[in-house]
Amino acid sequence: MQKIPLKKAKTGMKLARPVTNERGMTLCGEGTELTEAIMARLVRMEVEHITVKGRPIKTAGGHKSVEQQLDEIHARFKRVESDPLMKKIKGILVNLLTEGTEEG
Amino acid sequence: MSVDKESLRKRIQGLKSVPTLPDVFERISRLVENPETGVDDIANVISSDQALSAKILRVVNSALHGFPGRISSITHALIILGFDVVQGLILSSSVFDIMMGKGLHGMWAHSLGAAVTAGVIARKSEFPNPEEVSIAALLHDIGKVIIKTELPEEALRVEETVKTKGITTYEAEEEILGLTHTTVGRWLCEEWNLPVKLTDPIAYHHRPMMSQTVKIPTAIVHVSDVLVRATGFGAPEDDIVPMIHPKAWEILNLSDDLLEEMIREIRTQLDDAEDFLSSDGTQ
Repeated sequence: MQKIPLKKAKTGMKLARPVTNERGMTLCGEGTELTEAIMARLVRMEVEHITVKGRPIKTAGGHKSVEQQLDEIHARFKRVESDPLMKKIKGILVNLLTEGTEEG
Repeated sequence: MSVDKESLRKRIQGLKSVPTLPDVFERISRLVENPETGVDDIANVISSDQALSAKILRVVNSALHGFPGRISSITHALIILGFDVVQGLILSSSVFDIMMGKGLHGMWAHSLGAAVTAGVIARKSEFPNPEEVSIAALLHDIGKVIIKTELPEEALRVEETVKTKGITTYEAEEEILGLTHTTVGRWLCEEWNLPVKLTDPIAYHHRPMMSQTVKIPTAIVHVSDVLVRATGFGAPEDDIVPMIHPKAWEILNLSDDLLEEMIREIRTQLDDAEDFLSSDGTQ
């Protein structure tokens, strides 16, 4: 999933998380496929960001590749590899990262 | 080689008058001591400084998650969060100013990330005052800011040592200064008469079992510091994930299932915090 500014949204993208207003009320459910009409409605409701499935927007150098992020996780955890709790935490973070790529 | 601790401590004693700490902070501190003070009195004092009010509300709505709606006024913030939290927020806004002024964006992102993380852990471990713990986490590295502003040459040597030796800032500080940002943070808290629930997590976030009276918040801030480093959010100067102290973990009493749920939640909230940072032009 990727959080993107609404102005970068395109028809056909699917919501990975529901869009809610400031009071937490759902405006648009998870899985909704974006249409011009839905996007216009979200603009009117002053929604600024939405979370969509996959990673449709390439940010100029802003986003690192998954491989690079994995390398960084391994490097960061170097000192604590042998600790069972830290190993578990690392495992969860690695899973979260790779889950995202399967989606995209 | 280490610094003269006494002279550094004396310099910190003079910090009450630094221009970056708003006058409002002292006025509020006096008001809070008076049992007759009402929410409106404090709200009036804070609201008289519009820039500060705006900053506080921005921090509230970015670092303290978990409210159904946005907090839109200082009075609202005071009622929901209490005096201590708002006092901590005033302090945070100064820390924010110093960090931004010095170009320490990565450090601010780390602090904000720790605050968000602490809020999630506090809620998952059912600690009754998650906002208080978030504020302590937001301020946990305040000692680093003071070292950077008061001892700029030594701070540079600390940074170089971190890079050349591949050690943590904490270790490099011990080597270069003979004291660490946690001690400096504690002095500052004592100087500003901050409550122990803020002082202990700041002073002991690297050695959480040292806290006698606020064990849980201190353990939460310790774990938050480690977890936010683990996610790679922000830039805490060194890029090393230290170990979570087993006893600190034990007192939080979190199951494995909860750990996974918690990390997922932290990841999502950090994404939101990232938006806040980028929309604020601070990253």
